[in-house]
Amino acid sequence: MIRRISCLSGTIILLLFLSKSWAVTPPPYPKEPLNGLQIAEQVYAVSHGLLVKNAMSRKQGKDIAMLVNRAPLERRKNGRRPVVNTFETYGNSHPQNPELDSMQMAIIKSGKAKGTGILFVSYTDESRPGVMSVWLPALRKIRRINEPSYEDTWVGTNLTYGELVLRKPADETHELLREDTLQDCLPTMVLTPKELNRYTRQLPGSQCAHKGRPVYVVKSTTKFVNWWYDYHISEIDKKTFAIYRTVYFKDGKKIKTIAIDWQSLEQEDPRIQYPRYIYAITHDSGVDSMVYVPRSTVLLNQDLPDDFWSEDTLKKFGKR
Amino acid sequence: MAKGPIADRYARFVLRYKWVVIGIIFFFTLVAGFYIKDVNLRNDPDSLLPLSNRYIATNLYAEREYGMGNIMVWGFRLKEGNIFEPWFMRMLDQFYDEAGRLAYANEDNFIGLPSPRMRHLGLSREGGLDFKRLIPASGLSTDPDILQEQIAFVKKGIQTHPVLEPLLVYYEDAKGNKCNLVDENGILSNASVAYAHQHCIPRATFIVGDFSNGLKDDYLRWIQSVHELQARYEQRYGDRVEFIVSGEPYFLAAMVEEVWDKAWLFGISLLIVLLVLWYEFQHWNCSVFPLLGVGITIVLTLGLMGFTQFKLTTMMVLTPMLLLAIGIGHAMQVTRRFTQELHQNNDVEKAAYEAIRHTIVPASLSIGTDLHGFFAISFVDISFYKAYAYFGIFGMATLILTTTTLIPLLMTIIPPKLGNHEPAGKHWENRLAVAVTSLLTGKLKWIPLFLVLGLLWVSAHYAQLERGVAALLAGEEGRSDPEVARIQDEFDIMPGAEKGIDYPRAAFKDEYLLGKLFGSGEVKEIADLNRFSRMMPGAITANMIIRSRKGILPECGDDSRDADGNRIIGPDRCHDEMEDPPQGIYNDVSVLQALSDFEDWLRRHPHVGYSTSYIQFIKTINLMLNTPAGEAPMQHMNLFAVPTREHMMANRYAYADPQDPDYLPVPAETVQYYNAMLLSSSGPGELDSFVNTDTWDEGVIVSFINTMDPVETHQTVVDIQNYLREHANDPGMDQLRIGIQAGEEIQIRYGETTKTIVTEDSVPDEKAAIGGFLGITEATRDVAFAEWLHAPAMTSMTVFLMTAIMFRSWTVALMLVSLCFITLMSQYGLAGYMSSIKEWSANLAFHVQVALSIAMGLGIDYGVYMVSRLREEMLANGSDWTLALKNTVQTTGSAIVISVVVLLGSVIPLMNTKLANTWSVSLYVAEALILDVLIALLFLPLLVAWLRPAYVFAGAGKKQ
Repeated sequence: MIRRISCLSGTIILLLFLSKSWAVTPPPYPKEPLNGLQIAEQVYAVSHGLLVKNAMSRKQGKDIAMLVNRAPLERRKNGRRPVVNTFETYGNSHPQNPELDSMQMAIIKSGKAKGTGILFVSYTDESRPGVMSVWLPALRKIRRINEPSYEDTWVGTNLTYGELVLRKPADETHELLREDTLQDCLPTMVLTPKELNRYTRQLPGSQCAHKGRPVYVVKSTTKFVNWWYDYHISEIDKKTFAIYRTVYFKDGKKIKTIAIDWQSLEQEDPRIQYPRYIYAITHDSGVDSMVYVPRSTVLLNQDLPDDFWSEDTLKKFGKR
Repeated sequence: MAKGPIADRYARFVLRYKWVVIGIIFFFTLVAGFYIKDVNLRNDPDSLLPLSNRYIATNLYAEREYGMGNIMVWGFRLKEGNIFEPWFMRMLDQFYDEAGRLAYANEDNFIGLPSPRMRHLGLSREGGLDFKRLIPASGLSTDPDILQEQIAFVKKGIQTHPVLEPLLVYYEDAKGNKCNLVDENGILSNASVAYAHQHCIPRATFIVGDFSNGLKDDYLRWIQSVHELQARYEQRYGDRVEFIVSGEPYFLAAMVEEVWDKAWLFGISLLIVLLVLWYEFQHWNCSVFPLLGVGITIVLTLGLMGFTQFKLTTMMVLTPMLLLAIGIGHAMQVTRRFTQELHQNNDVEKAAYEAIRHTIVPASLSIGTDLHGFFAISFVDISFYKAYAYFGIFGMATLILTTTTLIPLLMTIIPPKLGNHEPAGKHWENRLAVAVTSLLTGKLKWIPLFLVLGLLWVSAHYAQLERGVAALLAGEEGRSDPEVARIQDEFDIMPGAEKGIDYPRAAFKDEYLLGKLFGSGEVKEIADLNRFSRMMPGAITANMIIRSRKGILPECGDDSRDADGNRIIGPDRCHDEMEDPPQGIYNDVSVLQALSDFEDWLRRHPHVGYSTSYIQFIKTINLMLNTPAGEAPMQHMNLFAVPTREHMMANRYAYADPQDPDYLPVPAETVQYYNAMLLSSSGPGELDSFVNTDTWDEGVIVSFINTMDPVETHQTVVDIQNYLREHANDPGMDQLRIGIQAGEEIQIRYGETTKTIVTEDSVPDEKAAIGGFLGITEATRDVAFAEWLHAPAMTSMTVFLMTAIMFRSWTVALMLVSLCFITLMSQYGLAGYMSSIKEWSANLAFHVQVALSIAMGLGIDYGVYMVSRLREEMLANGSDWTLALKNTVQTTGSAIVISVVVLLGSVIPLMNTKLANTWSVSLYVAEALILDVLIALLFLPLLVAWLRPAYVFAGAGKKQ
């Protein structure tokens, strides 16, 4: 029980999905054959928004992006509701200021934390840590917080900042195991009737549309010592480089699975997509999390100046 | 079958079918032998006390809802220097990893400096708030410069952690005294923290581990791995580091381990018994058959334990040893009779017949009285009392077959060769008879009476009977004295005999004889615990379950909105998490402030070393978020507070909006916002160890108690209950109920199953029930108070009735039960003495009380045998009292003297392990039985002579 005290040390950050590009320029569409590293670099570009100028998810009518977290199975008693947060995100992968690598902004739109805004700025100089500013509406304050670590969990989920944001292709060695087809439907969060409410009812069901798609099966082994996983095996769409499923292993045991339902944004480059949902489940504890982004909320390449991504915007959007 | 007394018919029957009888007994013994391996020695304290007890229910509820049921602590104390040395940190990091890989470890729940969740709560170089992990996930660097930086960061990180530093780091001044991080008011103040950091040396640190219940089925292998881990590090670092280990699973596993380690002592016992039997009978088969018979009873009993899968504790070791001690007594009676008859008739069949028919009735009656003690405790709702009772009754009952019946049958097959000493008896027996008879019939006959009176006086003195009686007689006027009121409320007529329990000392002695023969005799488990108690805030926990009085509204369902999504059921009837104001007491700032005040009071209590709760999260986040930008939070400990209006006004500099100087945050919104932030910043379910994040309507305060003294732990419980009562109507507190209340129906996970229990009104005056080990300790004390007079009274009542029926004499029954009371009083006196010297392994705690009833049931045997024999001898000797007495002492008296020697031999293994529970119970049983024998020999004949019961004297008169 005592260790829970230290969970304050978990980051108090809510960041938009898949950000921070580490000054990587968007790679051209590749030609086959590809090795493991080349596939990993394509996946990185797709999932870190390098192929677009900016992207955002804004509330449209009743549609809004949401994040749903469920407690470990042993703590999930009858009727215990998942924790739901709705949010808007604004990502700028190509700031005009050459010192800046990316700027990401997220605003929480519901619940007790409503109005909380986070701005994360990363720099092209990799030695310079990113700066995170948080607008605390109840206190009417901006606080700056250091950049999260790879293993820090993301907004109370079972996903880490490393998986979603910080990890670069160079942090792992990649091996193309085989080419295959996606064998089954992508899993999703299955809620009991007592866990349903007017928000969770909107969560999508299992996605089968990708079944049969040609995929690369890539094994990525971490270079970090004493890390929480040894390697992961990913199934990656051969055409769009969408990473559909990643299974993590530690000591030969499957520990976590992440499934992402990538959907096209009808752009010329097929790699430009958005994650309609991300579902992650930790197998030991049964903890699972789901991010759902309705298509209607997604906007690309809006005409916005760099100073839109500012503390003033946080205050303005975060007024209670 | 011929008509005749039932004893005769029984003897003839078993002799006629002796091969069948022997075959059946050995067959069942064989079957039982296969089940011995299944004996479930779980040693699980959760299964000891009734679950319906409010303290126990509160503890189990807290474990189920908030976790951490099997906590281990490792301590690492440097002999020189401070813990922020690179080699030490590297060792600690490696140890943490290895401990986390032990079987059944819940590594996610481990806490220590290397824990992934140990973060720096301070400022980064850029001035932003910093939450970096203290020791990198990849471990410490091999580069000396980087390593120095990492160590400096660890030091800075832990010294700026207001919640965990007091738990994980032990500071010592130059004289070796502990430096507390909290001040004398229990507050973490700038001054108290600065003193420890600047004037004291961080000498030790700790790793707290959590393990799953699975280890309870695998104690021996698990503790072996714990020993191996520690031994590896001691071998490498033992010259520089003192390694200390403790914790509930370690304690319990060490107890099971000790039973197996000292199993060879049972061999010593058997050898002693064999030698005594050889001395007594001088025939090898007269020595072996009694042992074989009693051994069969022990196998049958252990087999039944394995077959039933009853959850047992190490205290059950007492059962086979009692069976051995008592069974040998019966075996000797029948063997002696057999040899006497054989000597007279030289016919083994007749000798067996006579032996069985003469001993079967007194043996049955004697075993019947033995069962009284077990029978009485079978009604007490404590699992190990029941285990004693059920298996004791079974084992004792089988003795009729395995000793009184089987031994003569075996003798007919392999008869002993006879010598010349059987009829005349041994020299010492004759001398004993002459000496006792002279004493009891001469001028010195008052000596036994004065000895008994002296014994009663000494016992009353140590049990403080006079103080107890005076307090009871003090009436209402005397109640101004809290101790008098307590004695009256608890009817504690013998306050000198402490009934509370010091669990660790009830489990282990602080030193033991066998250990002294081969070393210092120190018991490491207790020594380590004492070291922890000096260094850590506390060795046991007290959990306060905080719940609201009014509850919360149900979540809005589908029917709360129409087809267009408009709300049609209002916030007065259901709650919409996204729209409505947050509900639950943990969203109410007045409640949080009341709980904060309560925790501050707790920390000021002399026996509360530290406390922690969700309130600490709120205070910490308040400190972190409101410390002026660019300044270190630890310089603003005044902001480590619940953000009430008063607090904000007093610390306006931290809360005011520069653009709107009149503005201060709204307290309720602020704490609700903190709740949301904390929920978002922790992993799923993480906060649930302190607060229910589903309802925000209940939580727990965990405090660490720095004493295990039973008087002080009880006082701590009383003080906490009094505080809660006095402040029950304070703002915030008026919304709360603390602990599980009487009549509640709650689900408790118990082993592999979930049970629904209804709590009883086990805590008087609706006082708060407290969980944790403090609660268990208090519940145990309550049970002890309920039973310390009740169980012996029940036993004595059944003994009285049984003996009255047996002897058809109220006088004899009264005499025998009076002897029981003398023994009982001596046991209370012994408890008083042990309490006076603070020997908490042997005060009158509930596990010791089981000995009172058992000893009473067993001890009455000697009186029964003596009275029976006196009557027999009076009949046989024409009412010649002196001769009857001499013959009685020479035969029955000497036999019971021998049985005491056997008993003492039997308890050797129980008295010479590190285990305190078996030691104390066997101490009380042995003390009682020795006294019973002395009284039966030296005092009972006097009573018989003075009161002249018709059972002994009238029959003789008629005969005459």
